[in-house]
Amino acid sequence: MRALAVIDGTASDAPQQARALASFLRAGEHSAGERSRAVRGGVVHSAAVHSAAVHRGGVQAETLEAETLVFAGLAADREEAATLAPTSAVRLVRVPAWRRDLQVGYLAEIHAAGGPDLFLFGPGRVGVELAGRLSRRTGGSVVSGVLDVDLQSDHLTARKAVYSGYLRARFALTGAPLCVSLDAAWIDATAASGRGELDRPRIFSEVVLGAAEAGAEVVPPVVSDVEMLAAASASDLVNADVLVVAGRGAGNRAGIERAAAAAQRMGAAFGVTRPVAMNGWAPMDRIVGVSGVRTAARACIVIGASGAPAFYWGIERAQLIVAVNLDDRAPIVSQADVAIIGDGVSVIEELARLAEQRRPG
Amino acid sequence: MKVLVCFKVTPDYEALRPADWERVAAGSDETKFVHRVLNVFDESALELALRLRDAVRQAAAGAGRAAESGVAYGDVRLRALTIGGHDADPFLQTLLALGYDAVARVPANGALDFAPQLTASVIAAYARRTESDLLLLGDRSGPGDSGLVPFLVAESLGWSCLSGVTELRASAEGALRLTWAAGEGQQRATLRGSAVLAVGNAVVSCLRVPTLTDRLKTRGLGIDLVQLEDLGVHQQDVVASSGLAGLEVVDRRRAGVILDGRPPATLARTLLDDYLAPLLETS
Repeated sequence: MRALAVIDGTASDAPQQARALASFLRAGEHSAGERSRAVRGGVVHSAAVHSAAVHRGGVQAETLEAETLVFAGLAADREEAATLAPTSAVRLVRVPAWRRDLQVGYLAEIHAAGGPDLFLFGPGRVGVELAGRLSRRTGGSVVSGVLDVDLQSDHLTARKAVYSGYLRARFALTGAPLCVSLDAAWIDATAASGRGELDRPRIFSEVVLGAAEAGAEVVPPVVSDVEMLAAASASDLVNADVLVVAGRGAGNRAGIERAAAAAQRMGAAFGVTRPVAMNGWAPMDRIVGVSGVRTAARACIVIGASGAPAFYWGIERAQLIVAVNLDDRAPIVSQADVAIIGDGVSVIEELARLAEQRRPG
Repeated sequence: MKVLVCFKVTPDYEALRPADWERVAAGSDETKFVHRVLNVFDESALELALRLRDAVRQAAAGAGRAAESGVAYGDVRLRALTIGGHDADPFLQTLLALGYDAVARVPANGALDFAPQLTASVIAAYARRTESDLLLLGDRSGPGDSGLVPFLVAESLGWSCLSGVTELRASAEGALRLTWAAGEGQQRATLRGSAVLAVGNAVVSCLRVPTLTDRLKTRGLGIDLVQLEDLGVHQQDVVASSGLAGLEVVDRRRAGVILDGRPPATLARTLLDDYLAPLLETS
């Protein structure tokens, strides 16, 4: 099966798209034990693409030949754009930012000209939009948020989270082309990112689309008067060593504020579940979970949250998960390494007091 | 401006126990006994549309500015559409009481739950039929959680799609300003034409509650039932579209050691000494 990995290098999340695609393709390489062939030829032989998100066994697939198409800005550096590619063979297509219509049109042309069987996109809104629109325009089949795949000669079976993460579903795709976007878990599925040990990228074609628009205001086609808004950063949650996350069980805004203050005294980052933010008890940028950030903290202390899958996705990479909950039957108790049945805010305040006592100086 | 808001009513998944999910995965519809809720992103979309209508009318009433400026948003007509069963009807009645001008339901009883392509076809056909100018819906909804529908609808209509929308306002001049997530930041801009707006983590997250008077006043207003066939979707399309090959439960269990039977201060000390400190010291 021939695959084309597609990266929108004009989007702000281009590095994340690249990392996810690299992780996905290289997971197949490593599982197949065919790494040397893959890195030399720019062709990935994927005998087993497994779910790094769940770290379970792989599934068998037949040979996958992959190359990359990078959409780069009209003025983007050629070599820099090519280094986004997770394969050695790279097609470079220059296009104004936000012009998904031009991008999808170009991909549809590739398909019409006998292009690949599988179009592979990164996670996030860009990947979902490109996969969806391409499938619509070409009459192909589509699945988004994919955890792993089983490739056969003429079809693909993909697994993804459904029912807000309570279950996983397998989807069989048969209509060509197969358009697949990855789950965001692939962004951090491997420590190595981007090209890793791949050879220097070989750009074998370069095309320019929409050149007449060079110099024009670069905005989505349907809006004007664009202003950038200063955004609060959630990087402290992503990079935290110790993270405290509070759910509705904290009781009210005052409980959340007490927990946040205790976390600060402990030197921990502080996040919340989505319902807490929706109640207006904390800013939206503090959300941990599918609609917020995904952390890899060494220790994550969850207070007053039931452990719904959409939230748990945001903390499942933590080395140690501690749950503090009044309900010993809450799912988070069995999903944690260690749990205390009790009031979360009180426990976190006690932890903060102990931590302060022991702090040198 | 004719605004169409699409929403989904789903079971409250948090009400199901692990054993229930095993039965769902095995094919039993355990969710039918669970109370229904609005998809959270759709709920934001429904309320944002109401606030937009209020703001535009206020601006127009203010000094006739909107009318004088010639902006097309001088009046906002709100229409809501859902695809689903009878359990959505109470929500549709609530929307009528809140001032939605028309509400419609496409009876599908879960047949399109895992079919984003067909769902998009239905929505796009309805948007064309009602000559809608603007379409709002949530970023994603269960049970499929694909996030594809807004983009597929936009592609069908030949419109742009802005996703991760968090705010929608009418300026004093009646122009429509929207804010959406872009990368790690946000952007705000004036909308210049028809578009699909997929609502994400909006601060406006709760639909307002109608008064009893409003409910009584709109009690006689009906829900428009629109059949799939009327929108160009046929039963054979539904059958053919199902790519769902199976469901499976997810095992997320860890050790689950419970510390109990001691005063909270002692438990906190044990947690710190036996679990947190060793982990952090070995870094």
